[in-house]
Amino acid sequence: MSDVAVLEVEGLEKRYKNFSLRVSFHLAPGEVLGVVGPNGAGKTTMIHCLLRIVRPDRGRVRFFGLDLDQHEVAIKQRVGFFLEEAPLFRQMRASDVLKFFASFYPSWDWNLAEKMLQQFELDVTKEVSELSKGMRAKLGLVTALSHQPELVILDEPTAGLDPGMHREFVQLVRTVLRDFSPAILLTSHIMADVEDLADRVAFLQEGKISLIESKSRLLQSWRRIRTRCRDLSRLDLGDWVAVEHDQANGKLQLVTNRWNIALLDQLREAGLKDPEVFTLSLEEIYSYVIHPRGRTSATLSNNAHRWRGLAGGK
Amino acid sequence: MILDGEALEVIIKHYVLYDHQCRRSILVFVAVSGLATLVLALLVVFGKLPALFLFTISTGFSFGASFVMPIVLAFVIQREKSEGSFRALRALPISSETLFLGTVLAGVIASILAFLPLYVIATIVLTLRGGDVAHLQIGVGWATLLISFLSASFTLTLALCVNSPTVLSYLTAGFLALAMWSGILVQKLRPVLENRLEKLFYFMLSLEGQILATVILIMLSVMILYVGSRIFSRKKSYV
Repeated sequence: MSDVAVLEVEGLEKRYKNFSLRVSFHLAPGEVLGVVGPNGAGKTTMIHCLLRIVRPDRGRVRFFGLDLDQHEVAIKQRVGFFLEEAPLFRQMRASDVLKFFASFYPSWDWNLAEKMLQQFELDVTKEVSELSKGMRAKLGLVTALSHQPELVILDEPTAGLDPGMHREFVQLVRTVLRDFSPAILLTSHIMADVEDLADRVAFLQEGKISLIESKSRLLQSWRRIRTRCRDLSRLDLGDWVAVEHDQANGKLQLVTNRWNIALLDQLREAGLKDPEVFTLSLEEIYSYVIHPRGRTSATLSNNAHRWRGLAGGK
Repeated sequence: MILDGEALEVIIKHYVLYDHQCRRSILVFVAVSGLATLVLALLVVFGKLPALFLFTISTGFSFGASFVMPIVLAFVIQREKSEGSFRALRALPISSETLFLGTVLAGVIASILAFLPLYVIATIVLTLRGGDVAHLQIGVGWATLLISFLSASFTLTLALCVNSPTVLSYLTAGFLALAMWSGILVQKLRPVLENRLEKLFYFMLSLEGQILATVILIMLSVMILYVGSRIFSRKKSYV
């Protein structure tokens, strides 16, 4: 496989009246990058800029080493896309939608399309407007994957799907990854999807990427430490992502994004007793990265000292 | 301009054949105008109506098709924009120029499909009857084609370049107002400019007049297409 990045985004900027997007990142061949963030963070705007549904104000986008402005059609033939809520020509029959998409992709594989249609039990004789949301999502996936793209862009693909459909979707993406290993750019606000599929995670907030890191490294380097301590004066609070301290009973909860075993010795030296270390799920990490000041803890009393900040965040 | 012939064909088929709203509109227009023309044609054949009556009605239907079908397509595009499928269209591997031109051509072809049956019926009957009206009927076909091109260029440029659906309501109202004003204007000017209008009418029937009108209409359409295509390609947002 070529070493050329599948996608390079440098200083991509889109400004609106009350919102501006500015992002830079890259995607390696076969890699799955999950972009997470709350509603309005700019995930869909970013995808729209990449697919030229919206023209960015500034920045450079290269797919497979080719400039998007100069090679738009050639690039798009190698990219599959699934747009939020699968907006697929509601007045057309599903079979016509497939034929329509097939005519634009020289590498369209009807056998693969048939296989997916059978797996999904999709009735292609129906009009798109007659299909349920889940079925439309499935049709969207067939259109996104049947030409075996080298890059698949999935914008909130599981939003609004019931748990059964949701499982099927994740399973299908896993199968696709196994069969022809495309790179995947996945945006979602459902952490479980990203945790399941992504190799790397980008946290998008108010149009900016506040953190981008490999999933394994994130899960490795973020920890919650619970201990007791009356006096915090020997502890450098700036080193922690979150500190929650109940002055009444001395309960202290620390969150770090730079975990290593030596940290425990430092805590003991600072006078902290019996520290317990817990791993964090991606969802918990998300809540610290995206809402650094918004999280509260029920275990703490009202006079608890709280402090939040992404110390040393990348 | 980056144009792809195959993609152009796919876009035309997408609107004219596969989109139910557009297809249904063509069929309804063909059925209504075709049936009306057929009845009138039979009456002309059996001598119950003068040939001029059939000529006038079929010309009205033909010109009507050239205005109505691009508007129908403009509504289809606005529907696609509001339901989101236009985003998918833009995300497909197709240049904005091809998408633009394909849509305008779809408008022209939809017009042709809508007026062709009635035109064929009227032309056969009027040619069999012979006379001046038969000669005029050939010119009507060519004029309808040119008007379709101009109307599709203008209407679909607006529909593609403007994201607001209200523009179509204004456009429809504008066309109706234009048709009404033209009628009133001709009525008012007739007594004053009778001789000149007559001269203009005969000039338009002459070869030179037809060539001049053709050149003007084609140039106007191409100019609108060129400007529209540039605006569409440089649009900041297609949604």
